[in-house]
Amino acid sequence: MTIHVVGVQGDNTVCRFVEQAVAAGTPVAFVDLHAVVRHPWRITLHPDGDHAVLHTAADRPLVLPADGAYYLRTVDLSPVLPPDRGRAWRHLIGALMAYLDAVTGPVVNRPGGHSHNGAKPLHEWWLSQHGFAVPPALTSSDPDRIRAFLDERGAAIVKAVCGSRGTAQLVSTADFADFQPAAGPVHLQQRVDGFDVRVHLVGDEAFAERIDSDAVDYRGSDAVYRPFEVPSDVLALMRDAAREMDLVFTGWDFRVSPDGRWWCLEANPMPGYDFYDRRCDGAISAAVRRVLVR
Amino acid sequence: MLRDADIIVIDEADDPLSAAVAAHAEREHVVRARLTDAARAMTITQDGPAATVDPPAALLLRPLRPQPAMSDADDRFSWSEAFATVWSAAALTDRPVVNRPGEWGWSARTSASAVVTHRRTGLDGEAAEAYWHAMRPDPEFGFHQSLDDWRLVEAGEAPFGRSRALRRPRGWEQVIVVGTDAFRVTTADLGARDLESDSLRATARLGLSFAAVSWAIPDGDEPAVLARVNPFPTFPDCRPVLTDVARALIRWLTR
Repeated sequence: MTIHVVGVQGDNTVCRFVEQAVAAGTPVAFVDLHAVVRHPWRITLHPDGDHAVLHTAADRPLVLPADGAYYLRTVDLSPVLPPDRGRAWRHLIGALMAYLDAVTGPVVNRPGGHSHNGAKPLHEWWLSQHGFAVPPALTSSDPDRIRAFLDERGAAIVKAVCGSRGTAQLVSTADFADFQPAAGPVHLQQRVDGFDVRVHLVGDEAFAERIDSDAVDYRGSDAVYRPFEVPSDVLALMRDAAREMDLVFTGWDFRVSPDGRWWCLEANPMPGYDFYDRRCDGAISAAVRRVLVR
Repeated sequence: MLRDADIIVIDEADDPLSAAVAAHAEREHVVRARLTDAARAMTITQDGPAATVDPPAALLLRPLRPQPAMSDADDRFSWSEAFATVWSAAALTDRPVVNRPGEWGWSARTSASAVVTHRRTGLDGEAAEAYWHAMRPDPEFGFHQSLDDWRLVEAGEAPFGRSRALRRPRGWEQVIVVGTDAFRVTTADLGARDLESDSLRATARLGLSFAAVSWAIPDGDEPAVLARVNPFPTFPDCRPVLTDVARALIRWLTR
C-alpha cells in the first residue's frame, strides 16, 4: 500500500520517514506543497466518493484515495511567502486538510485532531485535567505578578506561549527586574529537578529515552540518551489522552523528579522525531509505517 | 481600562459590528481592544487542574486579520504569543465567551469546507466540493465562490475559489444565531422549511454561540442546502436584524 506524504522537501523529519519507508519496501507518493503552490491547482472532494484528485499544472493528476494512508507534516508558511503565493498556500492547505479530515483511511495525524499544543496554558490545563502531573504555571505581562510567581516558586522555565519551537530558559526574579508589559506575555512554568524523558507514542506503542544533561534545554547539548521504561500508569494516561485528542502519533516531554514522579511538560501533535529515530535504528519510523499500512 | 471592563471585545479597530454592539450596551462597561493589548492585560494562573483568568470579563472575539505577508520574524512571534494567550484565556475563563475557543482551535469545529461542515453538523445532502487556483473546476460544479471574500463568482473568475456540485438555487437565506436565538435576515416565504431551528442545531453541533448560517434554497420543496457557517458574522450580514443581534449578544455576554 502506498503512503502519501504531504509536506515540504527539506524537512528532516519528512526525509527520514520517506527514506525509512522506501528502505522497507513501502511505496511513497510525496506531495511537495512548495511545488504545488507555484502553479495552478485544483482539488475535488466527493463526500461519498472513493478518492479526491489533485490536479496541478506542474505534474500529472494525483489520486488521493479515501481509504489511503497519509503522513502529514504541514505548516502554515503563508506569512513568510510573497502575498500571492502565501494565499495559494493557505487555500491549498485548507482544501487538503478538509479532505484529509474526512478520509476513511489512517492519517498521521488527522487535521481535525486537538490543536491546543499551540496555546500552552490551555494545553497544560488540558493535560492536568486528564490526570497528568503538570508543573504550576503563570502566563502574564504584569511585572508584579511575574516577580511574585518567581519569588514564591523559585527559578522557573520560560517558554513560548504559542506552538513555536524555542529554547527553554531558566529565569529568576532578577531577570524581570526591569520587565515592561510591552515585552509580554511570558509563560513561566515551575522548574522540576530531575531528568528529562522523551516518549514517542505511535498508536499504543511507546518509544522512550531518558535524557541526562546539565543544560536547561537538552536539545543541542552534550546530553546522554538511553532507552527507558514508561510506568504503566503513565502510559495508560498517554494512550487515553492521545485517543481523545484523535492523534495517532505524539511526542511527549516529561521531567522525572527525584521522588520518581512523572511531570508532563507537553504532548507534541507533530513530532520532529528524526533525531530520536536514528538512535533506535528506525523503530519509530517503522511503527508509524505499521499504523499506516496495516 | 480593560481591568474594569464587564465585556472585552477583541477586534480590529475598523470592525463596524463591534462598534454597533458596544453602542447597544446600556449598563455594561464594554471595552474594545486589539489582540496584543488584550493579551498583555490578561493573566492566566494554573496549579494542577485549576486555572484562573484575570481580568474576569466576558469576551466577544471578532475576526482578526491574517498577519501581513513576509512580516518581521519578531513581529510574527509576538503576534502568535498574543494569539495563544487570548485563545487560552478565552478557553479557560469562567465568564461568558462568544464562540469560546477550545481544544479544537480558535473557531470551535468550524471549517471552510462545506463537506466537513456537513459531516460535523450531521446534516444530510452533502454535495461534492472543489477548490481551485487559476484552474476551472469540472463542469459538474455549477456554483462558485471566491475563497478570499466568499462572493459568488463565475467558474475560474476569482484567483482562488470553492465550487460545489449544485444547481443554481432559487435564492438564499441567512440566519444569524446568537446563543439560543435565531434571526432570519429576510421575510421571504420558505414554505415548510424551518431554517431557524436547523441553524440552531448546526451551530450547537459546531460549538458556536454566534454565527451567520447561509442556506441555498432550491426550487420546489427540496430541503435547503447548508452553504456556509461563518463564526464571525459581518456588519452587512447582521444589518437587517442588527438591533436584535446586538441586544442578544449583550444578553448572552451578561448571563
